[in-house]
Amino acid sequence: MLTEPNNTILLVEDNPAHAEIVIRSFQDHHITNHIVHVLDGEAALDYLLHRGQYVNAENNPRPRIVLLDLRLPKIGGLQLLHEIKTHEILCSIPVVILTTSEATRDLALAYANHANSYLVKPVDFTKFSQLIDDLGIYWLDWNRQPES
Amino acid sequence: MQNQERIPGRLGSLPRTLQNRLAEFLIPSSEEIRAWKQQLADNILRSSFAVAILLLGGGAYYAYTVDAVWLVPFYGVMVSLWTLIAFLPKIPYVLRAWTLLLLIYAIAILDLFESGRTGSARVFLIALPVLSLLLFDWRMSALTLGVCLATLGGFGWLYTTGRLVVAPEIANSTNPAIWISNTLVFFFISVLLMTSANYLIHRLAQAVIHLKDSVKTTQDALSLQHAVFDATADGILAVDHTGRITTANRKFVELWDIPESIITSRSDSEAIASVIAQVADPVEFMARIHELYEQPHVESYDLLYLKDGRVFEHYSSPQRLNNDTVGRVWAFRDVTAQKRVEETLERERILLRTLVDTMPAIIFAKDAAGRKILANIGDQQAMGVQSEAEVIGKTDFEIYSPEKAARFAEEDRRVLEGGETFESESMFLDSRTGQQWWVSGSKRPLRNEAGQIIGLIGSFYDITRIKEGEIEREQLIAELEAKNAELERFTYTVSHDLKSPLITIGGFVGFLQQDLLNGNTTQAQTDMERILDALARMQQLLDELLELSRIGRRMNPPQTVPFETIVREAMELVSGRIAAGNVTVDIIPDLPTVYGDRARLVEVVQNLVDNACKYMGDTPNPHVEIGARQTEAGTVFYVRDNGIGIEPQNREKIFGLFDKIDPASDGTGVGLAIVRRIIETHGGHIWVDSEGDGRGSTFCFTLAAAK
Repeated sequence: MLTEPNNTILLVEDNPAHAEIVIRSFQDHHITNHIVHVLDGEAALDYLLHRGQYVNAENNPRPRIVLLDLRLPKIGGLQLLHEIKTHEILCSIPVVILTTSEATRDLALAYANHANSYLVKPVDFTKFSQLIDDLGIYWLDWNRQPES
Repeated sequence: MQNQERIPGRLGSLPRTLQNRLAEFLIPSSEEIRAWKQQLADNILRSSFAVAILLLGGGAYYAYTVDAVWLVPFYGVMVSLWTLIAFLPKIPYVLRAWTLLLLIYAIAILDLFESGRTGSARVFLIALPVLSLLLFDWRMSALTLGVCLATLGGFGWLYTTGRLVVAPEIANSTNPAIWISNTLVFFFISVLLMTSANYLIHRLAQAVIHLKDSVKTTQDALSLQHAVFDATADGILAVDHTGRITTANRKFVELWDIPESIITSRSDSEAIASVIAQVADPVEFMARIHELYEQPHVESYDLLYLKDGRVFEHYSSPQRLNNDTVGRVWAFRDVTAQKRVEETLERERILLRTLVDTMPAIIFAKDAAGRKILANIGDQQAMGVQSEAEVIGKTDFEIYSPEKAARFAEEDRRVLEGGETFESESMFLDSRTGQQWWVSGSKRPLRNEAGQIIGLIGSFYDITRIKEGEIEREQLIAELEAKNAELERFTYTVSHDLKSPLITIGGFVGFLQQDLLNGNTTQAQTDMERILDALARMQQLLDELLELSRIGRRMNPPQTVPFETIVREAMELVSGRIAAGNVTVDIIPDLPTVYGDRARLVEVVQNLVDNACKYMGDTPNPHVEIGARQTEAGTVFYVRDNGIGIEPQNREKIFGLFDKIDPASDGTGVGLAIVRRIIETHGGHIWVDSEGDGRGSTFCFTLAAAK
């Protein structure tokens, strides 16, 4: 898998501890090492649109999936989702919401903005680990998406 | 016609029709004249009967003594005739009159034969034309006079020529001059007597005619008066100045039910007694009667209440005759029915009026010209007047301000001209108290029986309290909704932010287990630190949440403190951070005093200054200014910095719970939420002004005015 060029995951997470859990879980399950972690929505858009420090498209490939937390500073998670899903090119990237919020409003708004999946971070580590494993297999192995 | 012949000569030249009219007016009918003459003839015959018997008896005796015995039977015949015509009834007048004239003529002739003394014979002869004038007319009188003259002349000729010798005395008077002069004297006296008698008769007749006429007029007037008197609806009693009843009409008797005997007795005291017995207030009525008797010239009008419930209208006026007051007329009219109607109407009016005044509403009426014709107590209060009389007849322009009056006049016009019902809900400013005042109601056209609009009726209700309630309710709802939304946000953020460290702990506990299994102690150490960090963060969050929830629930008693004191206290608490950031702080002098929870206000300033220092960024000369400025809305306090500034889209967000603009900052995102909470519990408002990125920010807040 490591040889596969495009198994990049964009992780948008403001909480560094949570980001570390996600990244380590991916590593533990040997799913991918290509995880790009950004702290807020603005940085995520910069990456996706190759702006600022991510201006080099070669070094910053289009991610297979975006793992998105909802509570983000500056540009919020839902707003970022909206930007991606209304973007001509970016809209086809699967966006998986990974958040602590179990609020029905967030859930409804996420799907209304064409989120591809909505996952709630489990407190239990085993479950968290399982979730990451399943997520990786599903979205990176089973799931097909058009090349672009 | 006999009547026409009696028209006085001077009327002869007048037109015939007018003459007829005058004749009818002046001259009595022939029947009456005849009756009058007949009576005259009877009177003369009867009153002169005894004299005539004596005269005739004396004549007979004289005839006997002068040896004219052959004349005595004539005397006898004449006595018999006189007696017959004087006392026999049913003798036609003409016969009676002629007989009388003939008898007198016979007496005169006998006298002439008997004594030759022309003296007494002439008296009889003079009486003849006068009598015939009285008994017949002037033509008959003239004829009689002619006969008498001829008789005297004839006897004079017989005696002077000696053809007739009756007595020696007459023989001495054979001189014809004596006879002639005697005859002329006789003629002269006769004419005088006749003329006088004719004139007297004429005047007498005229007097009689006038009398008759005036009597007739009076009778006519009286009969009319009687008819009116009895036909009138008023009961009338006339009393003379001595207090006797002059007259009383039928209606009076009916009204008072007074026995006829009292009226015929003519005693006013009995009549009064009978009246008094029926009057509700006899003492007052008596006093009134006495008052009027003492002032005979006064007219009066009263209402009289009777015991049986009837009400009489009562007029009294003096009866005058040639400027003298000769009595008093009392007129009574039964106005009970009218009074009942009036009383009923009055009762209705009072009922409606009380109703209108009792209504907790503004009720008024205006005429077609917009003048007030009714203003109930509510309307009086609304206009600020003490009585209805102050505004009756006035238009709104005389009552209200020109703007208000013009507005009302336009409403009135729509009702009066358009006939529509005007409904409104409007707000006024009470000019006296300056308070808002809401009324709701309508103006409706007021129509007469014919359906024409003659004015309008307005009725309005004070709905200020309802309106205030509505406004208050809306405010409360808005507040509740805001609270609810805030609570929702709070719950949401709390659940998210509290769960976040839990997930961290859960995750790293899992890694820690792996580390321990793998014997990776270095990794175990860092993972453990992650767990401890998360725990510390959780602890801080819980503390601050507790703090936030306390605000508003537990307040220190409010006090008046100079704002500068608060600033100084806050400065001490943040001195560490100020020193660390190398920040200069300016406190503008002459700050006002504030009223509120001293400790909390210190907290506000502390948080704001702390916040300012925290977000100074790379500013070369970090600076904070604390001051206050006066605005129309009141005092605005501010904390200004020259730090990183805040983007417009985040200016409201920063006051939200756990909302941090910079994820790298060490705050929990509760500080500004606490500040806002404190300001709001003090009835104030907080906001931030900023020129944007890198240009600093100014946090401004107000506080409710000190009570």
